[in-house]
Amino acid sequence: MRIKQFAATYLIVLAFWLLLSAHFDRFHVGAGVVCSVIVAYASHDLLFKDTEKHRLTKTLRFIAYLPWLIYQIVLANIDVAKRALSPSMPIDPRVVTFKTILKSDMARTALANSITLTPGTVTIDIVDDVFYVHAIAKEPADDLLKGAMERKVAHIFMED
Amino acid sequence: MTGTELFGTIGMVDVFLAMAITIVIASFVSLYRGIEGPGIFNRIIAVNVIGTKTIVLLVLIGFIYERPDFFDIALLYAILNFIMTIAATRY
Amino acid sequence: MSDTIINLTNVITVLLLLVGAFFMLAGTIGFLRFPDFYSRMHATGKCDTLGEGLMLVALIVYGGATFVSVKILFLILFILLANPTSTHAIAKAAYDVGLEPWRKLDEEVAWLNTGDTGNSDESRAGEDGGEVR
Repeated sequence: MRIKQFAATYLIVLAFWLLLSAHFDRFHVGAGVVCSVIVAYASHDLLFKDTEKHRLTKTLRFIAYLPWLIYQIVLANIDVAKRALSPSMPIDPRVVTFKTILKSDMARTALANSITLTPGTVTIDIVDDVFYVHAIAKEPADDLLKGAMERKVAHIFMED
Repeated sequence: MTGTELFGTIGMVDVFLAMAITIVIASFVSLYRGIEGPGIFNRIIAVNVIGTKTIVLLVLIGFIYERPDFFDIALLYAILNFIMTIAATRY
Repeated sequence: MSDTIINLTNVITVLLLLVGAFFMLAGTIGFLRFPDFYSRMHATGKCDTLGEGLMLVALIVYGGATFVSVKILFLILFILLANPTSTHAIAKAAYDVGLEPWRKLDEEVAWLNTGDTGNSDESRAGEDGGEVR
């Protein structure tokens, strides 16, 4: 299993090197091969964990989640721009807390970053399984507490 | 890539220059918050914001002067900016 | 050399650049106008991410399929990952220090840390709120 992890990490690191260097002469490719061995040796247990199951399904579901996330990001930006540019500045900030159903660190990280990027809310802190979220007005906080996004993230990481 | 014209005598390089100037102005406006803004956290955000703007500025400069080296600098600057923010919030 | 296609690419590039610059400027204005630290985080964490992302996408459209575009693509992915993370890190640090969010009204309050209310009244009265020791 270790050798498989090492090989996969090595290939990814080497491909990354070739893409970024964009030189294909002997010196640059050789340096890339040597450096990739060192980096892959140092970090072969970071990228892939053998305890994980259903990696392919999770990846595909995450890719399917991305368009919705981008749409939400655009909405968030229009929202913030409107609030920033309107003369009366309709903001009413508050902090809300809620308990999450998500278990893994990865899923919580994804949820926290999604909350930060969606309209009107920023994740402040996660203590055990309680999220502290700063909302810029009442409506985004209410939308968040309905938990639609949490269910989506739970679906991706197969925890529902 | 030079000589591609948008219309008339306005080339793409001019558009990039205008964008670069816009970014510089926005950076200076943010710098006000960095100098004046109450407390250390406003200053940290200001530095972070200016750093992110600088990334785009570096890429634009790379296109204006047609020097691909600037893209590597922009990548490194992005990573440094991120690490600096994390380090500043952990101190 | 097909003139129309090049012009179309350029027009798309310029449009994306303008929209990105608009969001970036809106984010900067919000950064200046919002009353406290946490609201400013909204402006910077969102508008800057999308504004700069759009400007970089415009440059990818302009550059075409080259190695340079791959680099800019990695840059966009990195900004999309790193910007919310650093926003979150700064917000967490400020919250741990005990910086109180600015409030418009006195309602029942959900935060758990019991900061003294006199301090929060003070920062609400001050025009720029968010006062740190």
